[in-house]
Amino acid sequence: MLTRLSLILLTLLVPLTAQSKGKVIFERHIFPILERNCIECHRAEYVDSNGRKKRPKGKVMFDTLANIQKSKRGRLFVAKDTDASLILDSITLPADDEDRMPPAKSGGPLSKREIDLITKWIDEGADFGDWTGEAKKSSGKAKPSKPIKTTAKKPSRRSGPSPAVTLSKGLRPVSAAVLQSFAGSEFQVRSIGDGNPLLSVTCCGKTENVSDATLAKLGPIANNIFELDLARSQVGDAGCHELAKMSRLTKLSLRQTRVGNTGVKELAACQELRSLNLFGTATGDYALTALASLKHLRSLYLYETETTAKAVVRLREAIPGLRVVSALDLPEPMKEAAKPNRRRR
Amino acid sequence: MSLRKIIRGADEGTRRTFLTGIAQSMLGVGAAATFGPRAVAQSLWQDPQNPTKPVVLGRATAKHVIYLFMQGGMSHVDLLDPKPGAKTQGPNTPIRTRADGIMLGQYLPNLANHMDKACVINSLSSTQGAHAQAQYLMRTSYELRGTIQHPSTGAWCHRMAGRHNDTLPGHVIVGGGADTPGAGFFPAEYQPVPIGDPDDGLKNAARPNGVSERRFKQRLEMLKKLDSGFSDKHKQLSVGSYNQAYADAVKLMRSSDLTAFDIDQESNSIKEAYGNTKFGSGCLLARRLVEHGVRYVEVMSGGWDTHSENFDRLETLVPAIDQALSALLADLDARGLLEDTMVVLASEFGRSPDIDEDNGRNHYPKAFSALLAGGGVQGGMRYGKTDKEGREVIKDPMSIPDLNATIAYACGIPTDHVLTSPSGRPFKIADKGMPATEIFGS
Repeated sequence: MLTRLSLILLTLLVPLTAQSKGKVIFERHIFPILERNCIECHRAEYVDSNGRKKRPKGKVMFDTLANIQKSKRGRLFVAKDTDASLILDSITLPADDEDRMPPAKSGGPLSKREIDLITKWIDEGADFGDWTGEAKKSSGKAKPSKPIKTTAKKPSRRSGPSPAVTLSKGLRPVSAAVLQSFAGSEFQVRSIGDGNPLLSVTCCGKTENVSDATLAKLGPIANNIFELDLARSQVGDAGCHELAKMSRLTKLSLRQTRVGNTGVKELAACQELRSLNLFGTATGDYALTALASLKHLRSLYLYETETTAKAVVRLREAIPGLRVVSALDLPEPMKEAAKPNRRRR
Repeated sequence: MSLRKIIRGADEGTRRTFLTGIAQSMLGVGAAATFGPRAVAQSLWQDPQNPTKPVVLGRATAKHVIYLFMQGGMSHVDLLDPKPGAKTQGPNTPIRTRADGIMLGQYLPNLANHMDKACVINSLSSTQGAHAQAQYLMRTSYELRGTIQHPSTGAWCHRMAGRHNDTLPGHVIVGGGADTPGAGFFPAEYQPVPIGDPDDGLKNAARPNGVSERRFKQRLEMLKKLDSGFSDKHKQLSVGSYNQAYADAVKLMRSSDLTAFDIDQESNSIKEAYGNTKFGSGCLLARRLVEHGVRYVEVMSGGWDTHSENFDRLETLVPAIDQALSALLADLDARGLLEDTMVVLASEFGRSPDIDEDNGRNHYPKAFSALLAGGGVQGGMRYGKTDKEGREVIKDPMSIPDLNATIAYACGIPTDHVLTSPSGRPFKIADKGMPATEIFGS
């Protein structure tokens, strides 16, 4: 079963894939939508935890390939024929139609993106690939008797000491004189808290004055920098050379800066990175390949970059547990009728 | 508008009003005295009442707070604490969400999509059942008294955790603010900057038409000359601070960060996604402010006092909130800001599980709910529990001071640090509240 995290990752990946030229893959893109929205009611007959027999609603089943092909005489998904594919009828009916699937009480209609993705997959030939939906090793009991959960288990809390503890071991605090030298400078330098010698540095409010050359000022404290926020500054590729020296850097925001492939590639030297924000930069696939060596990386923000879904998938395979945010999952605009006190202008 | 007003409006008067206003609300007396040491504070906060003993701040998981205050009493059983099957549920079919085991009222279909990012608190209870008293308790952790005005949580955060961006205010309140406790007994500089209408942004913050930068400079020089005699004669802290405040207000006028207040910089599709409502604009403004380094933003929404026709009222009230909050969470996440920003959805109390003869629900402070997301809070979780009709808290009770202590904890502010009011009485950021540390990830 998919872990909850990868499920989230998949849903984040979906729009990227839908827009890009890549092929839609049933197991990776379509099945998670069905699993999340449809399978609870539409699966082979089973006995629930209260001992009640549950039949598939409307005799439609999505749990295995064989059952999909049995349902609606195999016309749920008709390859390259979106008009004949019955699934599209029921998921695109008007919201008030009682046949609209999924019903409101089971989570409501699919998003436009999800519908687009299913449509694209049908257009591309409704290829199920290797997926059969059958358990890999059939050991007599083919059908699970437990209800399928709509989402997988919660991720357990990460164990082990936090990097704030391990990275500060034996670390010398920055001297008061050096700290004093940052007073009135472009950078606000603070301890990360609890008197820890590791530092949190931001240039918020002075972003216009912080460029590649300015970063040299961080040299004397580079060893102690744990978090660095350079968002919206003028830093570019050349500045990343300075950042690559920060061996204890766990969190870096280069959001809306001028960095691109050359610079981001250098960040592979920051082996302790946990969170990297590249939102709104010119980062491309070339840089992502280099980041694959960042084994501790947990969050990577790539919305409004030049990266592709393919490279993101490869990076996720290389770094288990990585959450990549590469899409903006905004709600559909409101219906006019539902708008109270509209804006004046 | 009279002719005289127009003539006066075109002249220095507006500038002066703006400068004075901003001086009082964000950069007031004493500002200059506290800025210096904070820049290198090493997360040691210097308590002006006890300067020799610096306060060690905790590790902050939230650098910003966006507090969405639903004024009037938001129905917990209809929104964040639904009870499917209970007869008190009324004509409301709870819906499943992206998070396992967490359901929401049917009015929140968009938010359901983001529950993997949020923690629902189902065990709040308040000691106050009237609006003014309960709202005051929510904002300050203390009971409303005639003898003192307590500082709000935002003012405490601004004062103890400091500003990230010293060009912008530390604490902004959107959609009202005049009748909130604000800075309380703290110095005037911790007063939140009120933004009445998010679509208008910060008013009077640009040079008037026809006044060039050169002329503006000349006027400031003139002002300096006129003032110099006075400030030389009265070398007091407050005089110097006011002069500093003028300089800082001018700095803000000239700063590119002023655009943080202008939501017209956003595309129409983003505005549409936030819902194009007053509250939506407020949330969008909050995101822009946080992005530019403002520490604490409160966005208010009114009209939640649904004594009659509760369900019809929710049909018109909730969509704007569902839309804006969902857009806010998605937008913050895509920008990598949700990691650093704690979003709070709260109300001064809940509404009675019993539906009265007017199809309404009445004030219910005994058990109600709030929602926290981001800033280190674990997503897809529920904290606390009420009984099967949402009447009593049966697990992990959380008081209003506990909720504020949880916010303080996320911001790294020690909840046991005492500051003394000018009248000599001791106060803490969340009174006797204890943070719910369980909701934070490792």
